[in-house]
Amino acid sequence: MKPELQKEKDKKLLLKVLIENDRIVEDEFLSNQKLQVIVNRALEKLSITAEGRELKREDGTPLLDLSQTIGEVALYNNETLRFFKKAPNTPDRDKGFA
Amino acid sequence: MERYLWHEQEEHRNLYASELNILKNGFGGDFELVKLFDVQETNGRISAIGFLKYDMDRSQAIRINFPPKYPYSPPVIITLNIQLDQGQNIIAMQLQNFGKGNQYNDGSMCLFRKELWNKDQHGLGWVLRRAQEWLKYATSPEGFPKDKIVEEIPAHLPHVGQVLLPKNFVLNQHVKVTNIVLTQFKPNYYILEQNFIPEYPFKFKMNAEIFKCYAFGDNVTLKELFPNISPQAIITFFNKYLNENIVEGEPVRNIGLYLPGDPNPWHFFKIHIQIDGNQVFNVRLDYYLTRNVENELYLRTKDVFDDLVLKGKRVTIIGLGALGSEVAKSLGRNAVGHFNLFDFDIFELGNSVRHAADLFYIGEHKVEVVKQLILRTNPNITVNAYKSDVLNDDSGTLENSLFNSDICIVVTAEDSVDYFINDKFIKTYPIPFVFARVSVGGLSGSIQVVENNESACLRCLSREQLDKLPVPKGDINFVELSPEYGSCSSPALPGSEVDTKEVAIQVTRVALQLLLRNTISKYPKLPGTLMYWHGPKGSKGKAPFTWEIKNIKPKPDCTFCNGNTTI
Repeated sequence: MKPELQKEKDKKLLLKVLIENDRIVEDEFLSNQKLQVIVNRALEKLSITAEGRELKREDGTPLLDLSQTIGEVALYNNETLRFFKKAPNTPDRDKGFA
Repeated sequence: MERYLWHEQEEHRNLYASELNILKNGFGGDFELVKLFDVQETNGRISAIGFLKYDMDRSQAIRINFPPKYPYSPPVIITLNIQLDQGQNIIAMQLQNFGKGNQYNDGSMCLFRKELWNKDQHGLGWVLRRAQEWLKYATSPEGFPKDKIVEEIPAHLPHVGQVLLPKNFVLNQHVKVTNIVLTQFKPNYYILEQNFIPEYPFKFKMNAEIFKCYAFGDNVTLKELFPNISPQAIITFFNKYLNENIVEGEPVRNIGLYLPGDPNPWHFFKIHIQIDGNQVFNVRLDYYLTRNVENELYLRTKDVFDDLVLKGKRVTIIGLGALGSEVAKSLGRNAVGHFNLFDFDIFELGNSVRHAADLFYIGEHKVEVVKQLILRTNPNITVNAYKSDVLNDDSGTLENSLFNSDICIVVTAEDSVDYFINDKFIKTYPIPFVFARVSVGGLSGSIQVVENNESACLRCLSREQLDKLPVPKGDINFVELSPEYGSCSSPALPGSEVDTKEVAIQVTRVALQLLLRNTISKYPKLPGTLMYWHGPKGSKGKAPFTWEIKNIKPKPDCTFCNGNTTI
């Protein structure tokens, strides 16, 4: 492997995962690690289950394929991902006016 | 008392840090922070200015304002023109409006419908991505595609006030310049009433001002005349379109523009001109947005109660106290077009706590008071106000009113009036009569719809004791009131506005159902003709807050309503 590629591969990124109730986990990851690793780390450290959750970038882009690597989806250092339980787009109440 | 500011809350500590991180860390290279304001400068709000990259290599100065109650409400993004010195300090800043719609006059972007915002799913990053897309459209020659327009397009010019036009007002084609008098009813708010509506809807006239109005062709738009409101644009407008030298004439000009091709054809302005010698020192324009009452007033209610039908209806109301005033005002708000009002009473201090009017009207006749309320609801309504006692009227006014009306509502709570109307008029005038009253304390009420040959009259009902008000549960001791100062009438009865209004609202609904019953209205039909309100305490065998609805047919042998015997 070329030294610059090796360097890229070894580059560590600080990533955070924010969930509901303002709970957060942060850790360092290598860019060739899969997104599933981030999810596993969050599940473990926050003692939560994956059910009903969706990993999203800080701009709201869903990260659906967890077999992709951090480098492939171009997460950047210090990015805060969101792993909130899926919520309906609008509150589950009837439309009305007041 | 402590203010709630989201960023000071322990429960948002991590959210705050992550949002701040987007600003400071550059959003993956798409944002360059110029200034993060000290909260002392922004009344506690988190606010920042920076450059947002979009469309590959372009960038736009924006200001990001977090609301104090974030994330329950989204951040606002405002587009700016800024100038920086060499040290990257802001030395000049102004709002930038792209003129492509989807942007408010304060420069903030309309990025999404507000109901789309979800505090758990969205954040600053999501808003910035939408802002990047917004900028692509706003800077393209085509502007926003139709499916991307998320809010109404704001007015082309920011306005300082409004002008109410009661109805459509079209200038004859040959008129190029004319004077129009607008009446000011509060600062910066005017109504076109002179030579236009028969009666002045507002109590006070602050001023009456002449606006010199210029008519243009079908193809001229406001945008063309005033691309913006810079001093140069105003001077150009005078030279090019009015052929007038702005330095000649009054320092403040009231002008109106009639643009028949424009969906909103009337525009009014005050132009403030400062002259220094023969030169224009400064020009400022105040724009008054025109609102058409006839076209706009009933947009929110027309699908429920057809305004085109109701504006042709005439309602006679006898008694304009707590019930009658609310009924009249509410019928006006629901588009009934004509009223005949009867009451001889004066509006006094004690009335104001449960009447549709307030203390402002003290000392005036109730019919005039309610007339004002109706006209302030819609100046196009016609209201005949009769300061008369219907039992002492020898002019035939009441009979004439009933002859011309579609319905009569009797809300005096006086037996003498109720029975006079019932006994003498229900057979003569083929219209529905609605009688209503509330009990002492306002704790129960009743409504009777009387229509010859259709429903029982008050005499039919009294034979079965059905004309009685429900008796509220429990003992209630009301303090007896003394007669109001200066009045020789009986003391008023106690009762609150909130309980009385329940009955008034139901009377209004009944009246509207009766007025619309032979139309294609989809509003539910009147379910019965006798209604009892069991009030907040309930009454014997009846639960609190319930309406009981019955249908009682006329007694075949009733001499008052069935026409078998003359009285």
